[in-house]
Amino acid sequence: MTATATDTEAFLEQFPAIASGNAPLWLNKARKAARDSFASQGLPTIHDEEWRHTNIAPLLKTSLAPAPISAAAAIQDARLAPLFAPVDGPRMVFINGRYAPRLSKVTALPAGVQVKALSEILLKHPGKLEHSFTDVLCLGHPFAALNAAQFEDGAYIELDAKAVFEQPIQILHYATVGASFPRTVIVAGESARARVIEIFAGEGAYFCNASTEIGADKNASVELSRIQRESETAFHTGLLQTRQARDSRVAVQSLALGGAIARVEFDSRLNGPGAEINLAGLYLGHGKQHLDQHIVVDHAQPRGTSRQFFRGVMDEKSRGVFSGKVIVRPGAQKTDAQQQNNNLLLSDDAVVDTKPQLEIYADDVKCSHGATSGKLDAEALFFLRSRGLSARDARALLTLAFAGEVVGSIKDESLRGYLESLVTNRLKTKN
Amino acid sequence: MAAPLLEIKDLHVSVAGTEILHGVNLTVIAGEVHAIMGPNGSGKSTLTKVLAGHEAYTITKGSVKYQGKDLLALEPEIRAREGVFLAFQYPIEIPGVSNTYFLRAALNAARKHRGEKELEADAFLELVKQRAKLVEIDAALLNRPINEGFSGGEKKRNEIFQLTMLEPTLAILDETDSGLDIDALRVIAGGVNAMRSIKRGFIVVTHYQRLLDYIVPDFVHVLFDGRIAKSGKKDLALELEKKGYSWIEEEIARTNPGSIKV
Ligand SMILES: Nc1ncnc2c1ncn2[C@@H]1O[C@H](COP(=O)(O)OP(=O)(O)OP(=O)(O)O)[C@@H](O)[C@H]1O
Ligand SMILES: [Mg+2]
Repeated sequence: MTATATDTEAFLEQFPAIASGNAPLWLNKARKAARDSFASQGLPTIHDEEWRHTNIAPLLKTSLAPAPISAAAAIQDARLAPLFAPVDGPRMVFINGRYAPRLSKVTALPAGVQVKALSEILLKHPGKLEHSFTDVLCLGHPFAALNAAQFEDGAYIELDAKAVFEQPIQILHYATVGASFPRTVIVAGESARARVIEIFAGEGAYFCNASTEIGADKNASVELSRIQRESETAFHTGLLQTRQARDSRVAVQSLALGGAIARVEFDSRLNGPGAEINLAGLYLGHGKQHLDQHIVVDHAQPRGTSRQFFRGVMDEKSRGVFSGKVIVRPGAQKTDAQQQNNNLLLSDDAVVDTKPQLEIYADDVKCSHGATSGKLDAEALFFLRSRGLSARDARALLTLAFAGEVVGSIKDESLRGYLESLVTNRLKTKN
Repeated sequence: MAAPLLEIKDLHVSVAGTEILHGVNLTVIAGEVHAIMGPNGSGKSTLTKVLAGHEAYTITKGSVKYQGKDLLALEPEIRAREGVFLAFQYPIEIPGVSNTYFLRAALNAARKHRGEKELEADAFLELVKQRAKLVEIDAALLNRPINEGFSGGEKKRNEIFQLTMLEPTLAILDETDSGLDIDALRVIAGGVNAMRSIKRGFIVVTHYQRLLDYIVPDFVHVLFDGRIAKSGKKDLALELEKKGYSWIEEEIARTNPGSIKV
């Protein structure tokens, strides 16, 4: 069942269709097809199995007309600087989905590494992006279809074969009003290595509908830290697609802190034998936040490895959702897939819905999954208090320990420190 | 005579609706070591946890005074900062919380409570080094999360290490000797003995007289079915070791028929 067609139509009408005389013909066609796909898939409702726990009705009550170009002018560097991880490397800033060269700093890239705005690529090398629109109908991901139809700009990162860039490339999507449709494309050639930090932030009530794609060629390695720290009155939907060739490795840390309603979808396909994906996620809710993580890892080829390690800490009246699926296709023998979701409920009014699933069509595989939700351990609390820690400190320490395990294994010390400080600051505000 | 460090009077305690302690009386003067023995399930751990402030237990009658104050009215962390320390019978593992980080927080909470300055990192590490040597605990263990993956004996050693760090005024040891090998037992007893002073009292719960060869008690009490059924000197422990507990049961039956539940 879908939302009434009139709901969808009224929602879509807020966004004028984009078709440009300068754009390649295929892109205009793709945008149109994507827009039609969104219209026919309809706005998801809780009657859709994949959206059962996430009701986006409040989104329909928010005015989402595109942000005026002028909205970006008020944003100064000083406001954005603290949002970045304190590490050296190129930085791209997008305000309301539009590239802001004034606030960006992309210099000194090693040979074989490109960090560009999508708009520039579309102008100069449109062919490079055609692959990004091959599956433009985005069936099962209506908001991703909407992104394909409506994106204005985005980030394009490409590493040639064997190019290695150790500095993380940071992309900040900052929103202030209306709807924005950031799009990020990361292409890592054979045996290339790239690190990317994608940050979503903003102020006020707005809708950020993001799409990120990672393509990892043979033996390539891509690390992505996806940091969702939107305003708490904002709506966030994001799709992260990963497509991996033989023996490639992708590692993602996903941190969900902001948004009134925020959903991130992972669509990971291990298309080559021996590919490996590591998804680590942490969602920290408070107030009335609704934080949804929706994951599908699809093992299409043998000897793939996948890890899903997600933890949620829900306080006050917040609600967390974890829905994780592993698919092992026929022939994907020797697959090693693990899926784990643990939730900590800090208040009686907090709720978590967790659904780990396995769909296995091969017989020689190693798959496991598990989910827990519960409160802080009373005996651990008593132990810490009986040694002199206040109840508050004891709770904070245990909560931090629980959350910290998701980011604690990150090797890069400054990145780990940055993520840990985000977690600490968030958990401190309440306790 | 000095004012008692701890004075337990007619203490009745229930858990989950069942009374476990049926009127315990015990007085500890600073400088004394009291051993508590008694059969499994007689209420020894219950008594120790009540003293530490575990909230699962309901006090239905009686009083506990610590340094003249109503101990039962204090939150567990205030008791700790006032110098009460319980070494647990079953120390738990706390993943993700580093031993030393937590211990420094605990130590500084107590110092702050006493109006003292917090211990700087250097001074703290110096103290850690010194006390780790005293109880011969491996420095590598201290940087790991609390008790995570520790062997049974290492957990017990860690409890005593924390005791020596926090320097309590009333130290309660619940079966710290169980699970320790003979060498470890000697080391740990050495650590405890090093802490003995005229300002400090000890309650040592044990099943074995052997521990009391190392930590020589001033008094031995037998907790039987939620009451202190018999008290004596060190010899009592030897007698218990030889004869078990049945004679105590008989003695209670003789002197106070009807008090033993079947
Ligand atoms: N939280 C609890 N819930 C229910 N029963 C409890 C609880 N704590 C203690 N008891 C019961 O109280 C009684 C006394 O237990 P306690 O642990 O104090 O015994 P103990 O003397 O320390 O025994 P042991 O020598 O085996 O350590 C037991 O019957 C035990 O099952
Ligand atoms: Mg016991």
